[in-house]
Amino acid sequence: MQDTIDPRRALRTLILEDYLFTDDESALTDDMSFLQEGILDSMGILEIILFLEERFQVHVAEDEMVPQNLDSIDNLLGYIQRKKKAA
Amino acid sequence: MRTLLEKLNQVARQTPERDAVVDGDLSISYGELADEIRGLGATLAARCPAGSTVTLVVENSIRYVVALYGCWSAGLIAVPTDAHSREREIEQVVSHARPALMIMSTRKSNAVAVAERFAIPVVDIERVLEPRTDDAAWEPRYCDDALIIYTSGTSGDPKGVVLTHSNLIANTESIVDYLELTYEDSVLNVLPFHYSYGNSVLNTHLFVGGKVVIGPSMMYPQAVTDELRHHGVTGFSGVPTTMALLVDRTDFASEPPPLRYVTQAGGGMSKDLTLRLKDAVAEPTRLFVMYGQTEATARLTWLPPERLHEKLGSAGIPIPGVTLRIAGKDGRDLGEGQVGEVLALGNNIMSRYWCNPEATAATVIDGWLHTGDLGYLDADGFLFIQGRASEMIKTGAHRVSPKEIEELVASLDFIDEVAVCGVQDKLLGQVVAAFLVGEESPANARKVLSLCRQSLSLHKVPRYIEWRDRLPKTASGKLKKHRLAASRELRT
Repeated sequence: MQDTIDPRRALRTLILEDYLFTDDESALTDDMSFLQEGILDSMGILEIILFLEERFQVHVAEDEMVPQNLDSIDNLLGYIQRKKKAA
Repeated sequence: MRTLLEKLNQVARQTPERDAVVDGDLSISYGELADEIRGLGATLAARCPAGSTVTLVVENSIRYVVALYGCWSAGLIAVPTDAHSREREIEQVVSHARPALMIMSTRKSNAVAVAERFAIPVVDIERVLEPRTDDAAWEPRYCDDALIIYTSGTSGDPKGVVLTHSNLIANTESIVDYLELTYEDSVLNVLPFHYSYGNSVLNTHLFVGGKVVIGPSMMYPQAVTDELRHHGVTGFSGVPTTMALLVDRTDFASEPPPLRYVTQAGGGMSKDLTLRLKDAVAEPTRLFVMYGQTEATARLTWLPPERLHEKLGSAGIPIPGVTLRIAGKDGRDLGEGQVGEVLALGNNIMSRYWCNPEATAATVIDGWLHTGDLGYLDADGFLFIQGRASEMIKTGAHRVSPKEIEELVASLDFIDEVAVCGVQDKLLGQVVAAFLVGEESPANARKVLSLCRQSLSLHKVPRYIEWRDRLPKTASGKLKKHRLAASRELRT
């Protein structure tokens, strides 16, 4: 069941609904920086990590908590893909 | 010496080549910094009279330092704001501080909209910087008031803490004294400069001719630990949340950077986290637990690191130049071990709240700052904070006024009543919770959050929302917020 989740859709829905509180898809582009745009704070990023762990069974190591892996939808998708490949 | 700028210029004359501020790949020496400050000072002085207020909308950066000290060079009162603030928040500050100018590093659409609405000229700091070294051409100006830091923003009761140059110098000298800072010190700063703690970290290190390295966001804590190692800094400062992230979410503890000192303020840190942090930092790193308030410029007390275990949970002893008292409800001094309001006296106590004589009169009485914090002094004169007398929420590094959020949410037509309070949170100390009475529906809850997200900075947006049939009140109609907070905490 988990494998059928579209990660892009799931992540966009999470950010739009739980952080931007809108269903306006244009409010979030996939390359938008969560940090620069003030979309998430340190609490928010921990919640995203929890989401990755619960929803995609991706364990985020301490040294992987960097913007290159987590700071936009695109970065998150790339990171999930790399983790799945390495698994 | 009348201002911190005079001290910075003195350092610049003595050691012009030494690095003052480092920001990523950029760095600026004391000599260059002094010239840029002087250049901006001349530009600003040509545009508004001494004593005017100027709003800064500039992120932590070299530009911020130039803008702040540039204002002082021109005898202007700097009003720093969070560059990520929402339009409504900037408007609250601007409508109260009435700045003659707004300085921006990048043209933030939120801030530009406010500047246009209030017809306030904008200075783009990237464009106006012209280092100036010709001493004869222009003389710096002076005004007693240096800085206004807004600590809460409701339309009815704005509190802009006015700090004078004397306040800043007094607190800077005290902090330099007990931290034993020298020109050999350098600090990685992750705290916002527009708050009193970050402001004090910046000023103290520049005061001794040390180096300030602007750190990355705590949103990615491992990057902060990496930078601590990369820059080989001697110091690091944070609030309890910073320390929890550093210890629990990075490899800081497994390979501690060789720091000389770590300082913590901005809210009480649990004994458990204090001990874990103490264990995590390498010997001979000194861990300073501290306490203070914006109204006291920043700092009031410090716990000598050597007594950390013996006095665990204490906020420490008064910093040099500060006297503390504990007062009962009748205003009389309380004895050892008795809990009352913490009062403080010293040259670091604010001049006043900007254009708010009622709030000033209630807070500074005969020179004594009424902190709103409850605590007691032990037999050795160590302060133990026991809670807050006021309803302000402390979340992470931020102090949040429940009224600001209540005012906003109450503006929605389906809301009959709203109460906002802080509920305990393991990472942030407290988080914002909103209790609503009105037309309950998931769609309406979403409208509440959506409005908050548009109008308020992220840390003010409620983490919890709960509908209630009615709110608990006393016989006289006063809200029992502690009961709401307790009921929420039971469920989480």
